[in-house]
Amino acid sequence: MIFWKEWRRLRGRFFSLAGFYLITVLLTDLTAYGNAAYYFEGIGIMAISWGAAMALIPAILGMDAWVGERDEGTELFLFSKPIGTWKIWLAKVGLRLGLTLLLVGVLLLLMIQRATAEGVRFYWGVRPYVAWFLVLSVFVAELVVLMTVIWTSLRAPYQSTALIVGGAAGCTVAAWPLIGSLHDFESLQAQWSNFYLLLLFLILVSVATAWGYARQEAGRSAP
Amino acid sequence: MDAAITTRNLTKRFGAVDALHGLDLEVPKGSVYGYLGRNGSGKTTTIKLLLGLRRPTAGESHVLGFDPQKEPVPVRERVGYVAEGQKMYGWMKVRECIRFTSGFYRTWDAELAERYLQRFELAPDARVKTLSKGQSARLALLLALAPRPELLILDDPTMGLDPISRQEFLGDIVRAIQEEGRTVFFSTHILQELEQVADWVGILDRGRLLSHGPVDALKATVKRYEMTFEGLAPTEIHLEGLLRMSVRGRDLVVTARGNPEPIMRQLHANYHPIGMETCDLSLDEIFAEIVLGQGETSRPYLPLVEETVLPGEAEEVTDRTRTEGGEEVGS
Repeated sequence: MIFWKEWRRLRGRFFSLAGFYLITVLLTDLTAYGNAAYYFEGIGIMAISWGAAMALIPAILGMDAWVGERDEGTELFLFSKPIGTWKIWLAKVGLRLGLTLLLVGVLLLLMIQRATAEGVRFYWGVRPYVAWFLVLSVFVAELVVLMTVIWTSLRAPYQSTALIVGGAAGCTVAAWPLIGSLHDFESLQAQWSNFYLLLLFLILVSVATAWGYARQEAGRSAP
Repeated sequence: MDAAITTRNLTKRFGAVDALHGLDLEVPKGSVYGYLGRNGSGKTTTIKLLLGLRRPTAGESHVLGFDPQKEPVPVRERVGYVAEGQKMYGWMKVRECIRFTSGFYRTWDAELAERYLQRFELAPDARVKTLSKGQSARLALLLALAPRPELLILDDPTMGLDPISRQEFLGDIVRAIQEEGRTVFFSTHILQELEQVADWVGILDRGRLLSHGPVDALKATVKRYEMTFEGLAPTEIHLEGLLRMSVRGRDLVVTARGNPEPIMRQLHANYHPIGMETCDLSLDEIFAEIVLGQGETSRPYLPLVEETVLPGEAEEVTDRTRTEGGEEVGS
């Protein structure tokens, strides 16, 4: 039931995002039709907008997972139901994560398919793209978890902070060997550093937010 | 006594604030238990602790034999809960809200839900956000009753309703109680509504349980004694169970808790009034006397302040406003 409720809340945003990126792909297709060189430029534009999606999709889908309940005043209604808190958490994060990866994955496949159809040759094969997809997916997954979990700090600030840091680190460590086996990112060391700097920044922001909300919650907790 | 709810030394602190202090509560199975207290007295905190929605600072509780801290899900499966001004998902339709809630309960009775839907005259296709406060309260009651809970916990459910909606809502509750014979734990600060439905009562103030027992027993033991004296009334009274007193010239009004016969004998023997009348009190008045009299009962007697009587008020006995630390606490 939680999945159903969350899907009802997210579906409008999900289809809007999907529509937006579909239109971007189609526009790329139209402008570069019959011209592989242009298509490379189109792919470049797509990559930029896709990069934006990395930040945009998790933010749009993930941010109100918990605070939305607080804003609507439905937190008590939901948590008084006979269901474990972890199941609610899992449903909220799981669905957002699933939808985000689905959207990003479909976009990537669509881009590769359209580019192939236009005669674009992938000089290094498809493996680097898949590897990049995995890199970005890990990043997206971490972002979704961050955006969603931040608000669990309302109930358990220390546990959720540990979850944020542990989850992000675990996710990266688990995916690293797989990514490395697909493609050598030696030339992209600088990007990796940036990636980790950004991740560190996100963790710090989320911890600060968690702390802020925990304080606010403590202030609200009068009987 | 078979108890639906028991608490032992249940305590909850929020920083320096003692929201609940050493609560020892026992709610008999099958009773309609009125949990009375002013706003901020700790009623909602108690209920949240009983549902496992908050962790106590100390003490323990059992609801239908389960510890809500260790087994919150079995507790919530067996308890129907209507929160104060309960907010539901406004974007859902009434039928969707029912379907959503039904998914959490194995004991959900769809036929019963349908019956309540018709009885409460709720439009299934109406959005929850378009419902009036009265309709929302009824939907919340429907959602609490349809799983056929063993225990119904109502946390000030009529808060914010107009008098007519409140009366109708209470009628719904009374019918639901009569039909099912279930235990009801009813928290409120509106005493008139409680008097219609409760057979047990607990009075809470500033996190402490001041009184607890059957309503009839409470009404039989808390009385007001109006006395007249030949000369000026005494300004100090030594009486076991004394809650409050007020004096005006030759008249002395005393409220006390205990067996009325010995109290009357004691008052006659020690203070020699020329006339004495015993008055029954409503639950509303009992609540006020106990809450306003708390803290005084442990003292052997009360200091009195002569009341100023304004012209035209001579016949009216009014309670005195007490102050505590310069802050007005009641009138």
